[in-house]
Amino acid sequence: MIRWDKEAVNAPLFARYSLGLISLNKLSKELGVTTVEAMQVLHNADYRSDYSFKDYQEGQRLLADFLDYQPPAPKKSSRATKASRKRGTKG
Amino acid sequence: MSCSFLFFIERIKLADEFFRTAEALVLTRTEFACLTSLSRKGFFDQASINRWIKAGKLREHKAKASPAKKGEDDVTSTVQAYRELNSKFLITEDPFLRKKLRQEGLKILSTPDIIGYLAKKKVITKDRAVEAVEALKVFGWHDRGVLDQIKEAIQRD
Repeated sequence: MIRWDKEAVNAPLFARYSLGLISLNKLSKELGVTTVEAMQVLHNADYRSDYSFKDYQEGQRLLADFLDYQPPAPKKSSRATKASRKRGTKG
Repeated sequence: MSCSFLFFIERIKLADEFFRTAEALVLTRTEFACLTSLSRKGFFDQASINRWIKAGKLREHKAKASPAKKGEDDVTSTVQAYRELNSKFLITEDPFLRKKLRQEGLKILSTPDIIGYLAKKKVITKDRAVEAVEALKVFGWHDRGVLDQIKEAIQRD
């Protein structure tokens, strides 16, 4: 990981990002770094994402409404099925 | 749809679990370029990226409509890709994009949402999800208090 100093941050550019005027991609392009490095720059300048617990709750609601992933059922081994058949129980 | 999301989910070691549940993660041209440059700088394991691309889980979006004009921010091209792909969600860690894209009516998610979902669907255990939320604190991008609330919610649900 790269360490960045607060002083090294382009202040007007950082201010534009904090005010929500430019995207992270735009900020990273202007700084000449990747988005992950730009995130580190912002982190070292005490910036935190405004992602809130309310956003999390909204995300969970959206996922529940629009996705229905069903995990695959575990496969039973043929030996276990045979044994249970002998016992007269369901496999 | 965001290379920073892919970075987070890979670093907290949940990328394979995510790709098991997701049909595909499609990156815009800008985001794909970002991924390439991150992997060149060693932020990603190139073998993992190749594996996801080969499995069709990670793709670059080739825009049908005319690409965004030079100097334009990511909003237009992202909305365009979302609509062309008939996407279910857009995942971004960027507050600017989250705000703008919500205004456009897009459904937006972030890394903690995916962790909560994987736990809810029992793709991972609650303990594993809590571990992953804790690991997000290392990056310092999300507020620690919010992450603690999420941990409690995962344990409670």
